[in-house]
Amino acid sequence: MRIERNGRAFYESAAKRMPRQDSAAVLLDLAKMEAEHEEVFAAMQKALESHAYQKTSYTPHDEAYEFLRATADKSVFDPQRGPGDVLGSGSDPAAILNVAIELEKDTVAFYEAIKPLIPEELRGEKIEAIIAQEVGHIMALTEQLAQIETG
Amino acid sequence: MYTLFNAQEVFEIAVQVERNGARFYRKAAENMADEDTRRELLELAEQEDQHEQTFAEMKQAVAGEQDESAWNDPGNEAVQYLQNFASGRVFDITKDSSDFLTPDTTLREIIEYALERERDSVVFYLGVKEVVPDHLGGIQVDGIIKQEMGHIALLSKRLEQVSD
Repeated sequence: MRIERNGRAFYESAAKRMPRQDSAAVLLDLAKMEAEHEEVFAAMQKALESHAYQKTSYTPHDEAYEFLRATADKSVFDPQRGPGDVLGSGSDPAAILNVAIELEKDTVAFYEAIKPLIPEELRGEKIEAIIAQEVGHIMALTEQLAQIETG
Repeated sequence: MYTLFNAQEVFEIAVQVERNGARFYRKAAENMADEDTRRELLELAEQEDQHEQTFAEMKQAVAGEQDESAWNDPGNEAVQYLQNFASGRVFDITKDSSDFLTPDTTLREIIEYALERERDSVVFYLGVKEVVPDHLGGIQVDGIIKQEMGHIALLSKRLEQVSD
């Protein structure tokens, strides 16, 4: 949930700095989607808390999870760092989009790592759907970047 | 409309990603003094070889696929994304990863670089999975993603053990 919350704050801040109107609109759309993801994860967390699930066995993804969580914690998801710390003081459209793409890549890899750690009966298709949407975010950001680079 | 040319191009990119990865791991293994680490790097290279073979087979299967409606990308948006992704905007497919390696490159630097490349591969293949129908290899792509996540697990475990 922290990832989604900070992701939304990041996109709202990035949209304010973005001088291109079309790119700013894309960033605000992404902020809205992160807010929706936060709600999905909140519901999933509630279900997990009321579930008798206890993780007792090792899975090969455990180390990947630990690494990707640590990576995520060091980037936009660090609660001690606001969007301004991540974006710096500049407002170069390509630089903003590149930062966003890197953060989305961390997010996607992290969700792929947590997928097998959540009992199937609780995660259903929700995680898959969110991963697909996050990949969609990278698609949208990459398209914006392509438009900037090709003029 | 979806074009077979684009589909084959996407799989060719995947072939190159894997070939590039295998070359990186082999070169890293060449100068590795620690026998266990060297063996692990060579094992990773062999797995990338297998992935390359799988993607090459998928490319062949695409060439025989006549029904464009079987693909999950009627607007061609995902293929466009994959092309953008691999064009250097998200990672540079033309860049030989093994060029990163010099005699002075530390094990920590090798692992950190490999982790970044593996993460990029996972993200790229998740995009591939979105467009490839199961009968043309969607399930196999899922299997490769799991193995690449396994590489991230292995590399991150090794990173914890590195002192320099």
